[in-house]
Amino acid sequence: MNRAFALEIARLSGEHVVLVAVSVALAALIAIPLGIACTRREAIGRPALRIVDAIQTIPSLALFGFLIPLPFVGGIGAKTAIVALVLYALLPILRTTVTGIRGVDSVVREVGVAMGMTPRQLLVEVELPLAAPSILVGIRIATVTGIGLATIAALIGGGGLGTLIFRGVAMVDARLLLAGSLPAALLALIADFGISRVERRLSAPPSRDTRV
Amino acid sequence: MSCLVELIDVRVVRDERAILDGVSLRVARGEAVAIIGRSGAGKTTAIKVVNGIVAPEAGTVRLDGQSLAASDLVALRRRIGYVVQGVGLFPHRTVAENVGMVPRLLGWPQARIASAVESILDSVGLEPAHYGGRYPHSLSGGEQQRVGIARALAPEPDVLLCDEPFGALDPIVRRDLQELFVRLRRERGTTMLFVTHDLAEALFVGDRVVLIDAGRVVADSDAREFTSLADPIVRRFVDASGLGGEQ
Repeated sequence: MNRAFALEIARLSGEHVVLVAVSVALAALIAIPLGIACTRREAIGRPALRIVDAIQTIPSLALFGFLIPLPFVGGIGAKTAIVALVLYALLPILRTTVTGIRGVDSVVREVGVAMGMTPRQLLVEVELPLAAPSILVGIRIATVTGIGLATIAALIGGGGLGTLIFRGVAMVDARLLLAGSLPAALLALIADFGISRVERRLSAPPSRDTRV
Repeated sequence: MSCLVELIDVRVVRDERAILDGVSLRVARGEAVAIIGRSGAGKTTAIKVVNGIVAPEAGTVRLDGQSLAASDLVALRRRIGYVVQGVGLFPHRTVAENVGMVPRLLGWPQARIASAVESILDSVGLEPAHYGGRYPHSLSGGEQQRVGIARALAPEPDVLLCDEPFGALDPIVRRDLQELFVRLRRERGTTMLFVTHDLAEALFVGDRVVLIDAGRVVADSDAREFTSLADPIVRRFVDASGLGGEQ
């Protein structure tokens, strides 16, 4: 493998990481507040979960295609790719946020209210810290699947490791295919391992049963 | 004696069933009232209307002369200690942080919180240096409830509400905690409502015993006279507890 090719793999891996990191971060910024709202009002919760569920059923190739003609969010390039990746990352983060908050022990929540916490204090001091390990599971799933999905971004000029894969498909070149997919798989493993560690750290004291 | 907690003809309805069906109860400042009753009688609900966890459909609840309906519930709850069977310690907070939670919400200065936490942990028999930094999951059931009691007492509340706090403990730990608890409450003169289904416990912790059945107060008497009341529901409680043999 020559030096220029190695540099190209490194550059595309960097693009890939940026695509996924930006889209998962944006998805978390949307899905965590939305998940909190879902647990507060059933009128928001049901429709929001339905819509996010429905987005997940759109085949990824088609979703990228649908976005291209749209104004503002669409077009060719990384921006459109990020929009699509955000849409896919919403579901796992939203689901685990809702599950995490609903899973807080009702006695703990009641005691928080009874000791005079405002709804905001209850959220910040009790619900979010206790839901954090669950929310991180959502972020981990979104990141790992996002790394796979982001390879399709190359199709609409989004860059990333998919560029090598599509070139490999077009040229029937297994070497190019591997040069794109092996780093992607490696990135997914690293992300999975790294975020799992944070999850374990966060849940070390809290997740064990506090009851007698 | 002035009346600190007052329930007047309180009615609570859930799923078209009256949980409390016109309950009236007056608790004087410094008094300890034990509320007994069978499971589902409404005794837990009777104390949950005092801190506004349950809002009554009808009737009035007053704390220190002021109607709850017209009060800032958040501020009011910080004056009321709450101890429950499940304890409900914050699992992600240390013992010291749990105990210091309400003082922190009240905006006490750090130094005052630290000294209050230390002195109350000492009072409930938990060495502050050894227990302060530990997390709830590393404590035994009895230790957890000691922390629960310390947490309720740390902010020097006007009223203490207890919902079967010792229900899940073994008899020996239970007896220790009852004694500790009664002593601490007497020393501080804290007004208390204490829910239990155990008559012996009610007689031990309460100056007065109130029996609630099917959402109504059926007996309300001095603890020393309770076991000699003629009311049939009281008799059944007394007989089932084996406390009225001599009468």
